[in-house]
Amino acid sequence: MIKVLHPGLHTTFQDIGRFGVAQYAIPQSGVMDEYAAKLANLLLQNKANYPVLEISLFGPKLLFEKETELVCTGLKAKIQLNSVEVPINEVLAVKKGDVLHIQQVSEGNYVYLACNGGFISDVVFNSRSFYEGITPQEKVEKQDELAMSNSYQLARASTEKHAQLKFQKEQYKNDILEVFEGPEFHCLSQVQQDKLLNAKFHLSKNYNRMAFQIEEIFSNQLESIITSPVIPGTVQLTPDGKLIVLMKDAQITGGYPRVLQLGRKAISLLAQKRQNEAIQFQKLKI
Amino acid sequence: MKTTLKLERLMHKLKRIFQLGEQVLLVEFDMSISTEDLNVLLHYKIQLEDKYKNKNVEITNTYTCLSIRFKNANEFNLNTEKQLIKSFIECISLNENNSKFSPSVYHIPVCYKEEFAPDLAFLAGQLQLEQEEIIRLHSQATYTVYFIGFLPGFPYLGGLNEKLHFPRKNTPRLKIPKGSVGIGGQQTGIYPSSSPGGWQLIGNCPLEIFDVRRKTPSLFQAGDQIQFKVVDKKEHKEIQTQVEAGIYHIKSTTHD
Repeated sequence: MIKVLHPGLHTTFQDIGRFGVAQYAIPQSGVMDEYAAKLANLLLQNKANYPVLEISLFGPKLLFEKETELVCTGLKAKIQLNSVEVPINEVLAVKKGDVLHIQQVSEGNYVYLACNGGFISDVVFNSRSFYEGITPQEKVEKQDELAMSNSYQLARASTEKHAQLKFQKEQYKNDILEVFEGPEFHCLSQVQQDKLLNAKFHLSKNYNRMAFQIEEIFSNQLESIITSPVIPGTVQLTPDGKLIVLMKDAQITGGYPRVLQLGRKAISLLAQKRQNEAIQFQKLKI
Repeated sequence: MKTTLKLERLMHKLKRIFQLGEQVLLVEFDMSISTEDLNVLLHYKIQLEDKYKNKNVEITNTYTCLSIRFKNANEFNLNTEKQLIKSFIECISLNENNSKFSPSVYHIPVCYKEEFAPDLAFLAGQLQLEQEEIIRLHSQATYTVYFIGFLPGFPYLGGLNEKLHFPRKNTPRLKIPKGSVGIGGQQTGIYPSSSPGGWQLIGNCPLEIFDVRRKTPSLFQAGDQIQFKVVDKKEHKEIQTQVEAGIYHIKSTTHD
């Protein structure tokens, strides 16, 4: 067990999300940065889709009631184990009674915490990803007891650690988001299409697990569409010119024109961008 | 004669198949928002679900579009699937002209009393109708569930009497109680959980429209039909108690 001494700002369990429940309008959910979350599991030789704790900005303070191995992945964070600073992206051995405190995510938005063997939490529609109204909890709370699987061998990760597995931070320095055309891209004029694919945009202060909004106003004459399917990565353009990139907790339908669609890698990259950071869309061919 | 007409109608409805990202194909049709077209759309949906059975493929519909999500998209070539789906749909059009879809008609209790209907008096004034007339018109119609969207379990209903069309509030309420029945534009709907929202509220339904503990969490599915049955406060309360105890049976009839 892990006892939550302090839950942090917004800490949730996430895995690869839900499949097969869009017919009930249940969002996909799942980790915002698939790359970082997957690496956390791989560093511990877990299966890539094991649930992880997704930690944003100010992280939790956790008391370990049994020994395990864990890793925090992400761009940069201030992490302490028993008040001693420890590195991100490296496997740590923890003993019974140890206290891990992820004080601050200092670069990017999300840090992922995985433990050897994985966590156990409520499975709802084949996923442990937290979502309000679907899972019993929407975020980790103070005094929660987080259960860990018993099915791991502590020696494994230390003896067979993959030397070649390393968090590739350079890829996050890129401001190019690879996109496909959205269903209503062709409704934009040639000039607007070029502008959308060549201009530099910046992230607004409005970003969360549902959507990241862009600061610049992109004037347009597109009409609303009849309510149609949207997925994580869909870029909607509102009549008043707001560009909204839908993320993992997005609703499953929307009524705004869908001008672009981010690829999966671009979603991971965008997930770690903060307010005022620049982004540029670059078209991929299907 | 009738059959021939129907065949022609079916044949020319596919507009395009559009790949959305790495995992999804959108099959778009030239259709209007009508129960007739919805039945054709759901007919295609059922056939496609059958084609992709046990292949980790999820198909959902909106008004005029099917969304096909491939969980393991790398095991498919979506360009090839596009062509296959196109031929497949053309084949269905030629071979089958009868929808096998048999929807249920659910009789859904709604209490229109003042404490559940904060906008009923306002609406009566604006629409120049008696409150009783609004209730009568709203509960007389048969509504069709086009699809579930917006919030988990939220049914998009068509079939609202034109006299009751009325825009949403300019400023949405921060919290609409669970079960609220409202009008927004040309639509009416039930809020499955409490949420912010801009609809004009005229009643409340005591049922669990969405319950994550059920195997099928959403009470309704695309194609279902709904009729609202007027209940008073006492009945509303009784039904609520029965629902909580798990002993309420929703009345439904099935068309042939």
